[in-house]
Amino acid sequence: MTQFALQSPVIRAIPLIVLFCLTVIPIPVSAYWDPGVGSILWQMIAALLLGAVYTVKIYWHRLKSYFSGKKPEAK
Amino acid sequence: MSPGEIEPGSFRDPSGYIFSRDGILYRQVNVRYKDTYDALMASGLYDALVNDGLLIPHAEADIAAGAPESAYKVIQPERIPFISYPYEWCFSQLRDAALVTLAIQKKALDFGFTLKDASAYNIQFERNKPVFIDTLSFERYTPGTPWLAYKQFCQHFIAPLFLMHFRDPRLIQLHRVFIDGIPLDLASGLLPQKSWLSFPAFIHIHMHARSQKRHQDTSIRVSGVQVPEHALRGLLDNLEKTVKNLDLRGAPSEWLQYYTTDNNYTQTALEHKREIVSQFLLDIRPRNVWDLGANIGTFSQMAALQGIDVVSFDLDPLCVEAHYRSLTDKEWHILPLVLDLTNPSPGIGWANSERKTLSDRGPADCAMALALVHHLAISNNVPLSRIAEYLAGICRTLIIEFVPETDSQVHRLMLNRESIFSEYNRGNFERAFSRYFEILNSLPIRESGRVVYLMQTRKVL
Repeated sequence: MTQFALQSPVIRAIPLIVLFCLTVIPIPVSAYWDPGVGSILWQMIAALLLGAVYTVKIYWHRLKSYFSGKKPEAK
Repeated sequence: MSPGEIEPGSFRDPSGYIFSRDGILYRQVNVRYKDTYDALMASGLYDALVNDGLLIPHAEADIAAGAPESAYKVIQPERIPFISYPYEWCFSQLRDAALVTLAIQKKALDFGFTLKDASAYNIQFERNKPVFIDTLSFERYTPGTPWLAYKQFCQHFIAPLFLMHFRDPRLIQLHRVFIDGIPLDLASGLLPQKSWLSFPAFIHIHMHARSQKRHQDTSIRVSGVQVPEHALRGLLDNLEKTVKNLDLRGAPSEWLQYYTTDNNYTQTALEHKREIVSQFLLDIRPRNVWDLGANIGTFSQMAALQGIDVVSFDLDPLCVEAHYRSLTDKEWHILPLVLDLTNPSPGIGWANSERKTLSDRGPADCAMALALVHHLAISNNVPLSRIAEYLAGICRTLIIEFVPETDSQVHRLMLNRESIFSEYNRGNFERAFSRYFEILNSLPIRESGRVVYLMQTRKVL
């Protein structure tokens, strides 16, 4: 399972995604403790993935509300 | 005026620190945090969080700062009755603390702020409700920046919650060893193979740990990394859903039934014991009580109904879990905590002083040790004199039940043990405790050989 995960396309794509993101305008980031480079880079991948899921979820709720005639829930 | 005493655990964040003066806790806000503090207060975020019961309220104090050269303001936060630590919490307490942290981060984003840290130590329980205590943990959110506290949140909350969920509720004790949360590579290794099939464990622990390992020698500035706000909200939404969906195995109702079944008392004896303890509490009227070996808190609740602040300790995390869950219906003045009295919480962290020992957080006005002394003396071989000495160090008055050698519970504990407990009898119990306490009253429980004592430590006489 571990080896499978390490060879997954998502993991192999990390350097490319990181490179892509590093080319955009830098935003100063600093903390009074070490936030961990590996954690920050992984957060970027995880957040992009979960952000996409979140977007689908929001639109799904809106669609459901539209057809049911109910007001959509606040996020 | 004295400069005040800096709290030993308050030194990491340069935005300010906690100090005490004349028995009151203050927080100094440093000049470097001035703009953020003013923005926090003016933005409406502080008011919104306090109104929702998520953040501890404070008042600005018109007193001299602890360190005037770096001070902008001094604030006086509302006092928490008892400071507790994650390794003393049960599963649901850690879960509620995680949910409060996430709720605050989400609300902060709405107001253009973010949490710069997500330590479990920033949460305290005001009675049985979790509240965020570090007013200086907020900073301005720049859209596109990652959540710098993500690693800390996973180490302090996600890893132990998954370990307790998949393995054992006692694993929260790892917090006692790792002061900045459970390392994710350790959590990943300890979790069972099937946890890889759990999407949130896969994302927030296993793959997160592998990314940490892969980049442990990577030295790049993270300033180029962008996480769009919508993606960050997606991450927070997933973390919240993950935490809400986690639970312990087993039905709480079964635990409650197990813990409420005490076969060693007749109804008359139990009622009489309640009367005695209630009367003793009325006699001494303590402000706070530490109920040691509280089980699911039958006697803690009795004390709380008299308006007393109670900290309710038990060794068994499932028992504390059942007790905590039973308190959700109203705002009880009770804080259930996990504590092994034979190995109480030590001082940990830098110079062993960042997190305090149990006795450093005392003494309590009153300690209750009901149906406990035989477990300490017989199950753990602690001499009666040592029990008396320790209890005298953590309380001013003591309500203690002596369980005689003829009691069936004591017989059960002595089964398969050598005959080394000949000194365990009422006479020796009174002699041992009289050295440290004045015995104010003692009443035998009807239909039982047990006796309840009211004592006062000699040092305060």
